[in-house]
Amino acid sequence: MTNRHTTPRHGDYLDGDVDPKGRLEIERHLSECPACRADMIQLAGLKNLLSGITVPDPGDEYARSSEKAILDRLVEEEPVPIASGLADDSVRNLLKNLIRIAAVVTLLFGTFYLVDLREDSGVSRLAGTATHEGPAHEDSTLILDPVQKTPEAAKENLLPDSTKTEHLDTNVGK
Amino acid sequence: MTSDLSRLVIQFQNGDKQAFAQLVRAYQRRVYSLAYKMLLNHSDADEVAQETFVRAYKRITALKSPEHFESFIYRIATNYAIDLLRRGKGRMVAMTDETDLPGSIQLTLASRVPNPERNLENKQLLAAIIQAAEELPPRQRATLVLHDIEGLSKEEISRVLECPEATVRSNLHIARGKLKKKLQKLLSSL
Repeated sequence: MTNRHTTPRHGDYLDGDVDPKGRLEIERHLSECPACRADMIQLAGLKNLLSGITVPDPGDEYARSSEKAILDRLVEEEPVPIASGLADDSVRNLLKNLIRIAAVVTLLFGTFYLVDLREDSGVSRLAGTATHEGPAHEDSTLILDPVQKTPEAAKENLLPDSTKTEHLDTNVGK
Repeated sequence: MTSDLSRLVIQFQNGDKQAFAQLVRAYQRRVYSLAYKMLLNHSDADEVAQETFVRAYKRITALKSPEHFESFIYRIATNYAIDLLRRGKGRMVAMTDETDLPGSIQLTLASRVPNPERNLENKQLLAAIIQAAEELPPRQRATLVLHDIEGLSKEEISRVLECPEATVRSNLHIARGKLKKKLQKLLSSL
């Protein structure tokens, strides 16, 4: 027959985890309920048995060999050095993010630099000398439309339509 | 936890390997004993004991309070033991050759029966307890071992198993109920 009164509180009572008011309530109930008294006695017997279970000491020889096995495993597995600071996940994540940002910035600067280089090479070729004085735009024939990447192309665009030949300069960026 | 052990933990966290070795010496018997009570054989207990300290070494930076090192170690050991139980390990192994095991390790039951000379009854009781415990689900077995055999409080167990105290209380009640049911005849004769 199942005792429907048995609750975790009976175990708490035996474990000493019930406040004084709760203990009085439980003890009053135990005095009136034979089923719960029987349950409580069996539970107390079980707790008593379990607390008596022991494992004999494995001995010093086992302890030494076990310690050695642990240290050998650690050497073999090459654990992350504790003092390196890199074992800290938050530091590792911060470094990863910094590397990502640096990569993006490098890419952006690289792109701008390349574009700038192309523009500069186009202006100096049109000027003919590296020491051309004055801004290129003062001479209308020297104005280099960004679309026209070479002086020949620029000149072609200045010619009347009828004399314009369709010529695609493929020497872009050379 | 004593201040000496706390100091060792802090030194270990700062990279002192000698401190780690001392912590192993301080806790390895306790970890082995806990593992044996959960897994009921030397081989599995030995595996848990070694793996616990290897994992502790690698995860020590996760421990924020050195004074909770014991809970930290117990947590690793218990979780690994539960993993082994889920893999079907944790059965009492018959000792065919005592020389294979250090010190002829086996569970013993202190004389709790009214007549302390009735060793046969003790052995029968222990065998019945072990058989009943082997049938418990891993977390119920862990809770029962930690509380009723190792003597941890429900609050400590909730830290070890990382679950609410109400869950610890519930698992303990269920585990005890199952054991009580299986041992009813034997318990009645005590």
